Amino acid sequence: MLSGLFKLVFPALAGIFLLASCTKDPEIPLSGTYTPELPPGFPELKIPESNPITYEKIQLGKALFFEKGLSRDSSLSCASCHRQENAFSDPGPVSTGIGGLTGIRNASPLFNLAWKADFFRDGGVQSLELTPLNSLHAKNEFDSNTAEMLERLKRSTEYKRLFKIAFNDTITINGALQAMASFMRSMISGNSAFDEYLTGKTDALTESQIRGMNLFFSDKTSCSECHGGFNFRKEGFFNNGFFEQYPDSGRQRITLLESDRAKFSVPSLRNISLTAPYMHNGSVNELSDIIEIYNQGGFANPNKSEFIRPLGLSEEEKADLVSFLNSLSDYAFINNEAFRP
Amino acid sequence: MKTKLFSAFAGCLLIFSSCKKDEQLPPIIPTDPQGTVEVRFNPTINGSSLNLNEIVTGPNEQRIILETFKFYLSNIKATGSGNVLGSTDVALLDMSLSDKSFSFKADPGTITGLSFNVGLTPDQNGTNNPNFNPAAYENTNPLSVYNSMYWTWASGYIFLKIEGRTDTTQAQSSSPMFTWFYHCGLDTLLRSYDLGNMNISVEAGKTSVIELTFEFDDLFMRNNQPINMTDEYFTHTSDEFELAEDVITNFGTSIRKL
Repeated sequence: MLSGLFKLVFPALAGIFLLASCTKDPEIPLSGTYTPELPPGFPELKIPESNPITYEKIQLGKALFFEKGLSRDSSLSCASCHRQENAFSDPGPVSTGIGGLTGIRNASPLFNLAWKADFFRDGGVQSLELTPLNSLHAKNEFDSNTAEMLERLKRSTEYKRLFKIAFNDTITINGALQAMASFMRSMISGNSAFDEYLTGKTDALTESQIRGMNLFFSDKTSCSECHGGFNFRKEGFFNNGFFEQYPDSGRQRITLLESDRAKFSVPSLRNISLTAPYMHNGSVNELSDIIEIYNQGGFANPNKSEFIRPLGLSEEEKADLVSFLNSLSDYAFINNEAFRP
Repeated sequence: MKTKLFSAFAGCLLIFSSCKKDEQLPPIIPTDPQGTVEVRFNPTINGSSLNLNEIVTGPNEQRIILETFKFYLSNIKATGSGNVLGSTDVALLDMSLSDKSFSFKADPGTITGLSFNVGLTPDQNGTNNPNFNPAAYENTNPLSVYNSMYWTWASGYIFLKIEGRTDTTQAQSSSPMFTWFYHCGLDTLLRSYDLGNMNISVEAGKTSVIELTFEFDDLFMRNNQPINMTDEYFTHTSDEFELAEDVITNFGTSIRKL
């Protein structure tokens, strides 16, 4: 009798087990390869072959992005300095790390990183996967180390589960970095009033914004020479003549070349009105101040970009440019639930 | 019946044991035809044994505490009679550990020289390899990011990492408080060295030891004058290149056989 019961129950149990194994994780609504609908005009998503992007990795990466256990005293996460309401930038000039220690550069916003070739203001790192290591190790940021950080994660059954789902593996530093990079690559921003205007919605921009847009793309300002393309930036490092003195040597720190002194990576102007303060040291608070310095041609510097020159803009033109820059804000992006913990 | 069975059993035992006695024992052959070479560091400061996390007198007659001292050696070769007897690609030495050594296999013979780089080769350093991923190494690999020797704000490894604290000349507290650090790297600072005058026998299955040393004070010399660690208190290499070059070059040339 018992044997017969066993014969009946065992296949049923096995079937349930198999079904459970095949069922998607209920907390991850989508699974497999991440295939976002890209904003109009955006090129194909650039994903490294060594780290194919999946929804499972993004889910894990998001958990890690908001995980305070990555910092030595579990007081800070990536999101502490990269805030969604500021397009994942820091509203302070420089960020404050463990023990109140501060950095030396303004934290860059995080979006459209899948198309970026170099990271950090001086382009010192070429792999998005490696960028979190900087915050993890820096004494004025997380002041942690890889081994201790992983030990903290390994105490969590939830992380064991997420790593298993994402990588079919245990918790590893390589997996953590790949997952965080995947999450950051999923942060795509291209839904501003300007983008709507481009798709034919002519009332998406005000008259002032349209005048500013025309000025922005004109030879009179040459703004788009450096801030052109779908992401309002071009790859490369330039000095914009913003300061008389540059204690921060910028790109020269990486290349050791005098010709790279005080040059910095060109930031995207998308979401620019959400990401104040500006410049590599976060010393400029207002977009109007930036326009004013560009209008004057900036300060003399042997490495200053040829496009920085007196512009002769009227007050109305300056206001129009600021107005246009405001049209680049993507409010859907900063309110997107997918990027919340 | 019982007696017959017992006799037969005892007889079999006798036959088997007799056969064993007649067999020749095989000669003892070492399982490993190679020997092991252990390279052991015994660093000093002011001629005394260098220990981390202790207050000592530094090169500028200031009290210092050395907190970190780690470095890479690469392309390490033990040579004898013009041949390479043994080699290993890379070793990471941490002077905070009681074990300040690394080992590699070598063929039997006499080691007369040891050559090595201080630092990593461009391939090991990931130079010009956009797909280089230091996080992919196993935790036990010297090149793993676990060792906190990868330069996280730039691409590449720190070849020599020295960190600690010192008194300033202005204020001498109970414990040195002024932080200094010397992080030396970049391909251009890769240095090669040859130590000769050795006579170390390597035998199969046995471990031979090469004892090396370096004097900490020698690292902080320039033109026969000590470098003031409160004036020149840091380098990430690219920002204070000459200081990094002085320190890592001095380090390499100070390594010698005990």
